[in-house]
Amino acid sequence: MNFLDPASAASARAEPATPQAPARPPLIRFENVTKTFGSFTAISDLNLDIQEREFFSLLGPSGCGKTTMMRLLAGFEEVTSGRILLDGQDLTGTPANRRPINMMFQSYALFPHMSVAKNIGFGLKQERWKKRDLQDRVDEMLALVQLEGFADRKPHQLSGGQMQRVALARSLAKKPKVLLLDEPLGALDKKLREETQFQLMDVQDRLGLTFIIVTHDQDEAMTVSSRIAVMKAGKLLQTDTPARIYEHPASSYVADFIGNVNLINVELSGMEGDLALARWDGGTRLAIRPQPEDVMTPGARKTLVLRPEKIHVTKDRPAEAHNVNMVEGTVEEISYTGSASTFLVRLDGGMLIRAQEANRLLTSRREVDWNDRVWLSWRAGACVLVDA
Amino acid sequence: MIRRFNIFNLTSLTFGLAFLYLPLLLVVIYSFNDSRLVTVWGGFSTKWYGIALNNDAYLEAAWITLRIAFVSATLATVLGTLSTVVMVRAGSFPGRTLFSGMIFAPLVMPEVVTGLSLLLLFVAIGLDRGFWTITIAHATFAMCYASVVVSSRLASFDRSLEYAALDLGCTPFSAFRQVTLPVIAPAVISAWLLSFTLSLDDLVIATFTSGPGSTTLPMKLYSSVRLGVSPEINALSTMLIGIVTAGVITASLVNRRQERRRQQDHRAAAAAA
Ligand SMILES: Nc1ncnc2c1ncn2[C@@H]1O[C@H](COP(=O)(O)OP(=O)(O)O)[C@@H](O)[C@H]1O
Ligand SMILES: [Mg+2]
Repeated sequence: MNFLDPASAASARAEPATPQAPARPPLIRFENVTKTFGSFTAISDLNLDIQEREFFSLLGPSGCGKTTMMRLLAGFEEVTSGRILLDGQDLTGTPANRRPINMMFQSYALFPHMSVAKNIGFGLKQERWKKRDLQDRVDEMLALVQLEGFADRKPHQLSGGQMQRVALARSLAKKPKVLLLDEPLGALDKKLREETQFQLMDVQDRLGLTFIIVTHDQDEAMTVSSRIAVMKAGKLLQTDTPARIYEHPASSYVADFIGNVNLINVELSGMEGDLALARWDGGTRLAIRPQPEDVMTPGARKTLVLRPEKIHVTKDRPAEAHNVNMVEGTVEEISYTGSASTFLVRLDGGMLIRAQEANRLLTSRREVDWNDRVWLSWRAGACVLVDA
Repeated sequence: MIRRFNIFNLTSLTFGLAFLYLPLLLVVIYSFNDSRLVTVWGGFSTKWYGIALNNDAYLEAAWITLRIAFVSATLATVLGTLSTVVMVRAGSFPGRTLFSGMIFAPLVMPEVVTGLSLLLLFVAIGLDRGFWTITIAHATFAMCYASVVVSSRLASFDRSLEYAALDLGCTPFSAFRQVTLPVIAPAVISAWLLSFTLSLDDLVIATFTSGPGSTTLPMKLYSSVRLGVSPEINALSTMLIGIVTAGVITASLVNRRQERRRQQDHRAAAAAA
């Protein structure tokens, strides 16, 4: 990678960063979709393609428009402008009850006056299924969510996890093309939530459906999704695989939103072989392995995205190497989370850096302690640059 | 620590309840009086019930009253439920407060005014006064009571139940019929019972809007009393008290059961969370 002039950089960037060229048209396409409520714009000129059999996550802070996107897809709201296509068909004007899309609600929305079996069979009954077929499908769904024997219970006789599974079974009973899940696991405790995540992935895989899930839990999104869209204020900031979102965030906002991160302001200074050199505010020289799409204009201000777990914490100064960065500081805080320890290190320039080490030794053998002088080091390829 | 029953509280409670219920109690007691004279106790007897139930004029009035109560309660409940659903669903629109105020205004309107205005309306549109005018009048003023009962239930109704029904293939109407209505049914039933008892014991509005051949039982009782209270009237009144009490108690039981169910659900949900 060489320093490029901006013009050729633009052409280099035109190539897709991820080779995800869709062989066939997308299952769902948002085309310049805008949704306003009065003078408030909830979704603003949004474009998005979702492929068949994807497990797609919408991730973003509360109020950024995730539920609104779901409601637009389900047909509870109409777009203000733009269109939504399903299998190439414009959905505008198709009411909710005629869309081959089903939704699992955050509150589960189980019908309290109906048994579990009646709840699950409700959608089939609307399509006037024969009694026998309906019964078979309900049994199949009960087996799918491991609730055989609960058919005659009423919703208020179920635990939270069981209600969640009934809601899932009900929304899957019609075998919709797309299943929308609005914070499906929000009401479950952590352990149950993790189990259920795997169950969801398993169901999605077995039935070969397209799932779109709304969550504000980034771990959940990382675990279950094939792709994640990070939203902010009615716009998509980045749509990518979990690994790329985590390791190659498009902006410091995305980097900060997903996981812990150190954001460091740097100024590019030049190239040395295939590494870019940058100066930290404090003057420290840093080496960074640039990404193919990075534009490296000398003198440009950038933000260095450095994940805590990519940083080594050692008492001795590591061996010099052209592709290793190192800085010295004092340990201010150590937080122990069982599998790992997080060190807050105050650099001599005053900046606070978060570094994380797996606890390979027992804590009693840990060599680094509070107020120790330590060296932080990371490789040039372990960090990325985003626009400041 | 504050004692729940001190002398003062106890006294006011006793007097309050006595004030409310002593007259009714007297009516009930004297309805079992053997004597012809209303105020002289002549031993226990149920003969006045027999006599009252054989009085064709009373029986006819009672039959009319029940029919009016039944039809007007049904009308009031249907209209009250629908208007409430529309109001709750419509969200906010210009003039919403005025509109909902207008639904509830008859609650505080003096009955004489309601009766008089309805009378004027019926005269103006040339409707013959009788069974239907009383029924319509009762439906009008019971409707706002029905609305109050239903809207308090709808306020806590989870809208996503309806969205779920739409999502699973219901038209808006069938979502209402299959999901919303069954869920709010207890409130609708108690609205009906309330409307029924309101119509049953109304005198003022019925007097304004009745015509020849449509005398209701309260009207009949009132006109008889002016000629002197008889033990027969006590017996009839006791029966009326019985029906109304049964209606009110049933309505509150239905409501209580619903409330308990809802709390159970909330507890279940909280336990799940
Ligand atoms: N029916 C509505 N009327 C007015 N504003 C709405 C309506 N629905 C959503 N909004 C607004 O749109 C924004 C996005 O809401 P929502 O999609 O529910 O956010 P999220 O699910 O991401 O938390 C919020 O600011 C919310 O107040
Ligand atoms: Mg939401």
